[in-house]
Amino acid sequence: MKNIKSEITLMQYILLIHGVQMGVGVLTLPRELAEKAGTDGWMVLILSWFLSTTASLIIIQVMKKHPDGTILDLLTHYFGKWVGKAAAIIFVLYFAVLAHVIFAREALFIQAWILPYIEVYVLILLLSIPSYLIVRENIKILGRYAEFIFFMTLWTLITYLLPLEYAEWLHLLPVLKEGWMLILTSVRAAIFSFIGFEIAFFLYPFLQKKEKASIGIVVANTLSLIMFLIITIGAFAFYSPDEITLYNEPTIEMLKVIEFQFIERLEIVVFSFYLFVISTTVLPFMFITVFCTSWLAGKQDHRRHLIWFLLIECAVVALFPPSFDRNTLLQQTIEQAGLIVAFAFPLCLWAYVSLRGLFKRRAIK
Amino acid sequence: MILPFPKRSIEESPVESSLKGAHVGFTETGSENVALIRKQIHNRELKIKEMTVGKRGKAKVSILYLSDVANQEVLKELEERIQKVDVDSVLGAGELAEYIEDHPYSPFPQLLLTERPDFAASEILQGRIVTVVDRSPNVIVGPATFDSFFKTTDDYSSRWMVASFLRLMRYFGFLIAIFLPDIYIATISFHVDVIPLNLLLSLGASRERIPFPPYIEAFIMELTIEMLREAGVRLPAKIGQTVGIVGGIIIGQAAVEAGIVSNIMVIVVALTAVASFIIPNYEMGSAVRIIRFPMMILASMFGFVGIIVGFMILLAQFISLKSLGTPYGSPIAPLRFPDWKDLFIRLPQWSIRNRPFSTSAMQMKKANPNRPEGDKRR
Repeated sequence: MKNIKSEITLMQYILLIHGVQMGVGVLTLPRELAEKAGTDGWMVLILSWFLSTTASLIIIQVMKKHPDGTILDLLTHYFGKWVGKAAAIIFVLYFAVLAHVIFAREALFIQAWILPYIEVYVLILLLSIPSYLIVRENIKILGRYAEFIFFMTLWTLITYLLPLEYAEWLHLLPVLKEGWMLILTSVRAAIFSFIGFEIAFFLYPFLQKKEKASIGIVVANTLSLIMFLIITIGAFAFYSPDEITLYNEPTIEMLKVIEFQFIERLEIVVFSFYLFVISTTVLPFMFITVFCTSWLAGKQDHRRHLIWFLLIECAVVALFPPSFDRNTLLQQTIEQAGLIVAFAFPLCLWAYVSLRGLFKRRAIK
Repeated sequence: MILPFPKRSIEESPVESSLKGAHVGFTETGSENVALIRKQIHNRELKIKEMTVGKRGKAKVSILYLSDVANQEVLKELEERIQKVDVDSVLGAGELAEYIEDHPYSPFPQLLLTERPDFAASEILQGRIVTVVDRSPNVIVGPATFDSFFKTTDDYSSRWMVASFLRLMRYFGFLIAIFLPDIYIATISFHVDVIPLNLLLSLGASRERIPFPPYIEAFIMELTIEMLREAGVRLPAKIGQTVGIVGGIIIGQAAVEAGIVSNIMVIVVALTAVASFIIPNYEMGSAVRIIRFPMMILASMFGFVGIIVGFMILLAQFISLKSLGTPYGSPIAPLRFPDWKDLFIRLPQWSIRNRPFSTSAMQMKKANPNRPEGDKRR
């Protein structure tokens, strides 16, 4: 395989995973949490962080058994060619739909916030150009991109702290007003924000220092947790507990109160910049989709597949113009699948792999 | 009797003049150019490899490098590429550079051309490889990184704070030259609500009589100034000045009074032009001037989103480009913080102890940490 040679550093690995987790979800996250769990929503985040970190550590444990290949090679190794191919098809579908959902949602947000007069498929076409230029390269380039974007967009977090001068911290009190049960039941709303760490299945063989993979994935999850916590707690303190559910994207809405002498409506500027952050979610998903298809076809070069993917994407969007409702519906479906792919699947695989190892060792004795 | 080839005496390069550096420039004689570099680095490890390019007008090409520093793979790559060039004749270093560069379809220059022996020598000391082409006053420096187009020899001969300030100005100029007209077009045609009321009123007053949308206004002015610049380059200095006065002052003033372009647009275009001239490397400055036009089209069609998409395309270039097989964006992408000592700001010389990672030199260390500290008082 051509791509197997290219390697990513630990920081690129961390920021790739973090970039995938940080995306469109953040814009609506405070509202979704507030609807489910009130102002205790931030504690749900910590709980889901715990769960997703556990799942990601399991993924790393599984990948350690076959360190030179991706999950597809591992499945082929353990279960044979056909299972590997079937798994590849499932992964293609999963990541393609995920990429589509976020790509379409990105365009919808642009339409809603910045360019109301431009059709969604035109925006998709426009965004496809840089996406093609970046994804056609290898994982190294994606890693560099994620790294660069993370440091370039860190300042948006500072603008986010500015509206907090109007914050009322009492909104967060009393802690645990609804009891533990509500928090436990609303974990599902928060856990989807962490979805994306399953790309570790594909990143692991490219990592230079494999022994740091576990630490790296924990750092990535924690970094995302910190970002999510800053954003949700900020939003909870800024809005009153009932008001927050009125806005669709409370995270952008908050920035409306900032005004400088030289700039107003900062949310337009910040949201335009946020497109970079969203791109770090979409691009790795696209890459893994075409990576899987070219693995299936046994080809080295994924460029042609990528062109096809983007063309199909444009066609789908042009024929079935997405709306927020439909997009949300699709998102909920793919999130269910995400629970299986990111949580249930690695757990089962880990159980199988370690049991098998155990039996083999006994058989040798 | 055949006379020896006529040659020009050594004088300072008009394109890359410096305040404090040596006032010496390369000439059209390859052997003299090699001697000028050897004068700077008088070391037995400085190796010179010679080959010829071209079938009819054979040009002697000399590759200069430090044999215990320069990366052998990069050297091999460069040699192979030069050997593959099979043409009638190569008349200049720029022509050869176009044959051997990695991505001919990218707007960014990937090999650095310089007329300054001291700059070439300093790049050799960093672990890079210099190619001298006979008959050309330019030498090719490779592998180049993006940041090397923003460095001058004066950076190292003036004090570090001054040098850092100037360097920051250059990067700022780079951003302004690409993004200022786009941001202006995007805000005026799409996001007027971003501008605060008072500023908006003065902008409106300035644009009141203008019949064109902002992007046409911007294109008129940008093209005018590009033509003026090109006209000024080709003409002798005295007429050049006249063109500058006629073009810059008279046309600019008259266009505003006639109501074709707004005052603010003239300011934007003038700022952009000045910003693009602050970039020390001519090739990079020209690249910036070209990039501006597609960016302006994107901004006029999609506003801020267009600018961001254009930025992403540039980033994709920046991240994936290679120069002689080594990453072009180093040390920014791939990120390598130790090399940031000599990137946006130049820290004092004695604190830069290693060669840049991007050259993948065999010998990383170039200086010792101990330094004499003047007459330190006890």
